Amino acid sequence: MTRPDCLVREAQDFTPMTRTERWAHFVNTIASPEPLVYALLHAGYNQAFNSPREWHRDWSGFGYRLGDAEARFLMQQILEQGMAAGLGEDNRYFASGKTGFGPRLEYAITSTFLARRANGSRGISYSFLGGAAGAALASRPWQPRSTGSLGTAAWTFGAAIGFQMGENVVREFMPRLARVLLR
Amino acid sequence: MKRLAALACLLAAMVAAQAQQANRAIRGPLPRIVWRPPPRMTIQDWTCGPGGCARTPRPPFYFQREDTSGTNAKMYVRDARGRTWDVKFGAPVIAETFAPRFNMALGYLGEYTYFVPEGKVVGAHRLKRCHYFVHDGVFRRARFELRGQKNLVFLKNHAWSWTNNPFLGTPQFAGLKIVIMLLSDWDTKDIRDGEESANVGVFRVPGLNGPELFYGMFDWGAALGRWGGTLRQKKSDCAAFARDTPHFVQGVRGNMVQFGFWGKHGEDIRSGITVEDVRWLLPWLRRVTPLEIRYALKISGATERQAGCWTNSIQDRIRQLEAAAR
Repeated sequence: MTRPDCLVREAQDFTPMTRTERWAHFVNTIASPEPLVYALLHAGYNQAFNSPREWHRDWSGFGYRLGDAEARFLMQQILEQGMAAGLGEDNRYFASGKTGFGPRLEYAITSTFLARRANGSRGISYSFLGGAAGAALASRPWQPRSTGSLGTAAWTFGAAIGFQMGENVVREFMPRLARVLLR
Repeated sequence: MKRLAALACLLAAMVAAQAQQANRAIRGPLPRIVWRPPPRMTIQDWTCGPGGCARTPRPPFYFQREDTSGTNAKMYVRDARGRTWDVKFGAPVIAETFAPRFNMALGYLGEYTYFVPEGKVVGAHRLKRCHYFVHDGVFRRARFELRGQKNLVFLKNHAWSWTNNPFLGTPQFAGLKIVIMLLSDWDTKDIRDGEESANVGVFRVPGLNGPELFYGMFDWGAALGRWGGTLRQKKSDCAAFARDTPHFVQGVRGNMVQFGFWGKHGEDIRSGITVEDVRWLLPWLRRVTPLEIRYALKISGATERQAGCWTNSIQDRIRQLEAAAR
């Protein structure tokens, strides 16, 4: 039987992606359930708080919000992965391999802002931060008046970071949690 | 008189042609092999691989040129002994160092590759793809492959096809295909993809009774990851390798063993393998111990965890082969 801990990709397993793998990673991210989950969460939150109010709190408004979040996610991915290829950054999440709740949580949170370089070292992820900021700004033109400001763009940028952080925490703890629950 | 001279010329030509033919018969065409009985592997064999320890790369390394062909970052360097090395960085490093050792242990073709954990290349400048891996000449984790060796001469324009070669139907050839699937090497391009792209070829090697033509795979950089097409395939990823492991042998239909493998010309690789072929390969596979696999992986640059996981998966796959052969 294959050891269960071998099924998780850990930080020490890191090998840089080839060009083909970068393309595959991009396409797989776009085609995965991740954009839909992101868009549903985002649209649901905005629907609950009726933001932007011009879109109203009905099914058509939910559709607008869903499309808005989907388009922003797509734009973020294009910017982020394009920049990552150019700068030689790798934003994939690798489980920490650490023990203890604190160190693992810390690793998951800090990983949001860090990317791996080809030699395995970690540094500020300019591609992720740039992609999230770029998408937040680029989505202003189709926003109604109440959410078209730079202030709302900053909030959207923060939300993208928050979502990524949450995703990293789930990726860090989920495999082990699943093993415990399925035992 | 003229007739006599013409007759003499004709006779001389006939004698010369006869002599040439006889000469050809003595030399004959070189024997072609795809497998040879493997040696009992020693710790030195696992450490230094088919190239042996005398050929280990010796620093300082001098930059020659960057090679921008293919998808990986690679460059040519010369070492202290003046030998030329093809140096690769990134994902294929572990697989390209490990696979030749594993192949050698099983009797298949293995190139002279070595893992160099770190070093410096003098004169490395204006790098394109390699600049991600080489900073101020300093590099980490590289695969060095020796070029220009008279004991292993790559014959240009000799690429062959999985469906058309001299070994079709032999257990040795089926064994090579099993090894490819065992290591999940999805990049099995052959002559049908063009001479330049093919990862199969022929090498002239010394044999017991003179030179031989050794047929085999020579680029294993895509191994030890996840098999599949463009969107699925991965190189050197032990977690992805482990996830594919339960699908390695899918069962036995009639006398044919069914594999889950998928890659370039995947149908040609996984088809035509009989239970007898698996039975032929198994004794050679059993000779390689888990400890040796683990050691070879670590020598090739794998971490303790990676070596453990890959070894575990390879053993699991061998057990599946054993179950199919029963």
